[in-house]
Amino acid sequence: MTSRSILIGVLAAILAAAGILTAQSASPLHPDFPLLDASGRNVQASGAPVSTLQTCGTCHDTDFITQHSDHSGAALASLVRLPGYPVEAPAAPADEMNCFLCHMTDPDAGAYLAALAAGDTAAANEATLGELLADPETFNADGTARSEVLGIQDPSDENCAACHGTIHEDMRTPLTIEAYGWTTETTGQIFSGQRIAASGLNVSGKNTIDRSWDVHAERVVSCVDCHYATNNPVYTQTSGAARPAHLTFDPRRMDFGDYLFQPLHQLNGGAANPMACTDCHEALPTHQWLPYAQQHMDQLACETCHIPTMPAPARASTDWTVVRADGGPVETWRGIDGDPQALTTSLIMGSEPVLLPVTDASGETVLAPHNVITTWYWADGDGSPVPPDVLRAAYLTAEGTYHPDVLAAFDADGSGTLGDAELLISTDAQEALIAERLGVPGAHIASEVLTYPIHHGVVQGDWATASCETCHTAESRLVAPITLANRTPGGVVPAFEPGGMLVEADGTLIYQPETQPASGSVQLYVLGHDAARWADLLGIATLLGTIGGVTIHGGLRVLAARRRPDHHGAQVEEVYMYTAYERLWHWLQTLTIFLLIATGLVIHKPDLFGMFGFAWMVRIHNVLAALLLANAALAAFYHLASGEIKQFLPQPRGFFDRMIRQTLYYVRGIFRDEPHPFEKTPERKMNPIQQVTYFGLLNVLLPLQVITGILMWGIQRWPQIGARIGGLTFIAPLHTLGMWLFATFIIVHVYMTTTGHTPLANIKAMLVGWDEVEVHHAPGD
Amino acid sequence: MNLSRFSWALGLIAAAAIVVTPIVLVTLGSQQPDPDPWSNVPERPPQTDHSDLLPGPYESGEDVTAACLACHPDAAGQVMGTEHFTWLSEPVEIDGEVVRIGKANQINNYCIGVQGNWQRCATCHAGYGWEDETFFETATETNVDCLVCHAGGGTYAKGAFGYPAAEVDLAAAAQSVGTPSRENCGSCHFYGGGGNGVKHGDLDQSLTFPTADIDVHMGQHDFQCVDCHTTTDHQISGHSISVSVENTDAIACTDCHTGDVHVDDRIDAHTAAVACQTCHIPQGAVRDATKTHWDWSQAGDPDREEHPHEYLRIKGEFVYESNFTPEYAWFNGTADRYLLGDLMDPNVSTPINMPLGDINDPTAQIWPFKVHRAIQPYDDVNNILLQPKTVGEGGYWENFNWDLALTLGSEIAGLEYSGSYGFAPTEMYWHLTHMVVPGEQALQCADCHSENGRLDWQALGYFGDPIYWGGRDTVQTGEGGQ
Repeated sequence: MTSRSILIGVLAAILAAAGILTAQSASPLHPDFPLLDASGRNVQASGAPVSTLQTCGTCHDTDFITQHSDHSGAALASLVRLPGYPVEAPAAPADEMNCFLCHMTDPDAGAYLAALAAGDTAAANEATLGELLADPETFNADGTARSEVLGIQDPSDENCAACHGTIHEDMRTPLTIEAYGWTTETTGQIFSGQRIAASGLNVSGKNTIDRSWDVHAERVVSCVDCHYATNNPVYTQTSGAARPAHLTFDPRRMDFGDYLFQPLHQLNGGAANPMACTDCHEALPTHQWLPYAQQHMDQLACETCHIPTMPAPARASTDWTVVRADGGPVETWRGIDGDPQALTTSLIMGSEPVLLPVTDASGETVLAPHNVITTWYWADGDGSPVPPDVLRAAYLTAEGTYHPDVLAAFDADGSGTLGDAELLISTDAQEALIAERLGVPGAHIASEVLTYPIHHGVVQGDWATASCETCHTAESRLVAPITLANRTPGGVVPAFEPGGMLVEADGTLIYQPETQPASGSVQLYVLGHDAARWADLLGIATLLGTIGGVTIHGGLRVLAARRRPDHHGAQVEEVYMYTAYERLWHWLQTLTIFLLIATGLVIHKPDLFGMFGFAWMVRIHNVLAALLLANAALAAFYHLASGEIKQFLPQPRGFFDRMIRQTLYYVRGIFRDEPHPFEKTPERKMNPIQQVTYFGLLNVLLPLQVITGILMWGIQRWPQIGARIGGLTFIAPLHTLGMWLFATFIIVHVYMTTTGHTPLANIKAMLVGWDEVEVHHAPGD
Repeated sequence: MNLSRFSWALGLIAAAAIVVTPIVLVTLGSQQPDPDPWSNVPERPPQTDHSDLLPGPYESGEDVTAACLACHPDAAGQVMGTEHFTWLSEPVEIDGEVVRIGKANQINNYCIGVQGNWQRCATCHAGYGWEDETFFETATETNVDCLVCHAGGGTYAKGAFGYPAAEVDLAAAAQSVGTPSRENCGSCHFYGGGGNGVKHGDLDQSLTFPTADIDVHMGQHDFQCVDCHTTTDHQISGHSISVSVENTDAIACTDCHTGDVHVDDRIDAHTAAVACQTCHIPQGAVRDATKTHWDWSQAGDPDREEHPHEYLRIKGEFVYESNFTPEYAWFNGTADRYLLGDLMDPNVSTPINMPLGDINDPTAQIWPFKVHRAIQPYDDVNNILLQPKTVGEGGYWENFNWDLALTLGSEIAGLEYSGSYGFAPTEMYWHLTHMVVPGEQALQCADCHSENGRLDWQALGYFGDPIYWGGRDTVQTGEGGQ
């Protein structure tokens, strides 16, 4: 058996299964037409095979169509390959494009593929007509074929399903999979409006899954509604940018005759015409509930949240380094417990797609759901895959049994047959044996990870990922490890650009995604998941050091006070130190900062504070930040307008002297109950150290926190500003560090309030406004 | 200086208020409660235990009624004014004629008519002793049957002419009274037409103790009939178009389910043209089969094998269907009515109660129907539908003589019978409104909007599937409808 015939067999089974689907009716407009052979004669007279290019070319520009098609032979050959089969393009297409396969109500695709398998490419397209060609009812008296009998039509979903996978439109019969189509096998995608609960598949917990397989299928969107011919006048829209400003609609359109003569077969959504959900959907208005909606949409494809799971099984790996007795590879699947070909007995568990960076239709790099298939195969010295026939010959004898040498090397349990577990190249001896038996120079095991994007299986809002905790936690969905295969043949780990490959002791190969991969096009800082270690370590060290410092200092003060039994303080008097506004401003800022730190910590480490909703905390944090900013701005205005700003401005002359005096006081004098070196008066409330501290706080720390905070908030509105200085990965750690420094300041600040003439005097003063200050000279001085 | 001593505390409170207020505003602003359908469900009145109040013994149903009237003096008088007793409507205008119609004086296409057949038909009459046409002239308050609606589970049954069945312990039945349960209503409404589920297509004994998948209200939430069919002075709301042609006292889903009940705007956009029932009652008679065809012309064959769901000598040939797909038609809540004596065309199916409304009627919606098709006797000279006497002496079920049965029946019903009869097709419409399924099992788009969908768009008056052609509000409608 050649690989081609295997594939054709598989496809034929799929097509036979697709045949049970209800047929659509033929187009009433299409005229009857003669079936022509390659030389343009009616095949009824010539008996030569039907030529699609001649037959359809009577009215349609078939050369143009062939050159502009995703489904012509060359295009197919480059697109289609057996999942995990790197060897060659499978079904070599017919000499001509097969118009019948997509444009007939009930094409005999099985016969088409059988003709290809037999190498009869010239007659393959004709075979698609099936028995209709021999049926006199197909033809009129004048020798033309009756379009109605052939069922010439627009491609229906059944036509697409024949090759692409499971498409189920009939609401009255439960969905089943007779054979996996290409897209279903490689990704698990199923296009059906039927509710999963009502389908015939053995999906785990399906009674509660009352969503449809795909919301577009549910909404009666058919394949060609989105994947239309791009010059179809029904869909043609001139972009706003291409129109002059004074026009809202350009009525000059291609007419249908021109379109039908030269329909572009590069369908929308194909390689030449990338499509996006936003081609039809206005996303922002429906995502008002989502904080930072634009930021999410800049980083994630719509599908990432709207295809949260693939309920159907999909191929996970293919090991072509070994050959099973039936000539096939050892394969694994994901999302299914049991044999993927025995769907009546296996339990379908479904799986979460892998999120990989892709460049979307607008050129942005976003994370989008994929299935990945890891494949291993033998390559020769040039890196070309070893042909499958050579591979089979290395393992199997002409009778289809394993070669004795192979059996000796692999049959661990001595049973005389090789199971999937035994069929694994795990030792150098096994690898060397097969390499030798292949007889190919430079034979070695190669591996690659094939990625298949997922666009179908879309769910509506209620079923989409909407919980912040899905991603914004330590166990983020974005870094969920994916088991690629339960084996690593020959220890060969495939290269994979997003990185993060792990091989476990038992050979299981795991892909571990990262939000900030060492080499990767997408660098994310996911709040609640990502935290810069350095910022936390530095911040916590500062905080702890400070707490230690003030504890020692305070302890020494207590000790010193004990040794000094008589410690009558200096004479004091009551002074109105803080105005009502100053006190309100101070305590408002105190409350706000405390709450900002608390909510900030929840956002930073939601796992540690799980009782608060993440989105709620983000919202409150933003409200508090606005409050803090407003309060600070009003206070700045007050201090400027009232001239109180001078309190915060150090007087340069002799400043260092004064600072040293104040420092010496804290280091020495305070323990000896010496008077404060600088009097606290309403006109000069702060000592030099305080002035320096507040100068730093108000000019460095507060602006740092406000600016980084605004930038993080503004990621939604002005993402390019944040991006220009390094994005969240740079800004967020600074904000975190700022938080730790603020917390440190609070410790010091509160401790310093106890250094008044009594420990609580300063706090009381800030509460009631009246302070007791030491009197060093007569009042009225 | 008391005030100033605590002014700092006031200041702190003010500061806290300044912080908390915007947080609360932001939090509350994002929540909007959905209207709660339960708020529209009436509270059930508390039950009174009647076992000490009605010690018995009672000789007859009338005795029980008399005992009831001792404490509920207005009750029987109220019942005597309701359709449950009169089997007649308030005066309505049909084809320019003001008439009172109902089961008492009109026919259907099941057992055809009650006139002359009271012995059997009155087993579902909320009264005692309807033996002949003079009943209403002589009936008094004690002729009202309180027990049929109020007796507790399994204690009561009715027999010939509506009298209590002989086996009934009247004292026990009287002592068990309470608010009518599904069993009470079901004792007649589940068995109309002569057996379980025969008539309605959405009412049968599977609703006595239903599971959630039969009916979400009665199964999942244990609704009783009277929770929706609210009652004032024994006048029970709701009606079927089988005999009621006017759209008064109708009950609507939207009485309780208010607001934008669907998450999806697309679905809400349907509600002007599509009744809730159309999507939420995807199938009729989900458990027990209902009768869909009845051919009286086959009756009387003594040699044919009998089967209650296929053939009976007294009734003819039937088709029963369960879990059937409804038929769909425009319906504005009112119906036309075939009145006795109306001319009919034996070559076409005569609609007994055609639902009214079409695509151009803004009050009409597309509704699901069970359609009962019958072949029943008519006068092939006068071209009128006839009403046979079936029960009792001379009745068809005893003599198997159509001519005699039609002669006797026509006499009682006041019809002109020429002496020559035939059999003609008729149809009756029953709008489906029970056996509601929740959203997860409701119809989906493709059930209607697809190649082999349920709706015949052109028959409904559309150009074609409105998903492509637009609905009746967006484009002009076609002319295919009737």
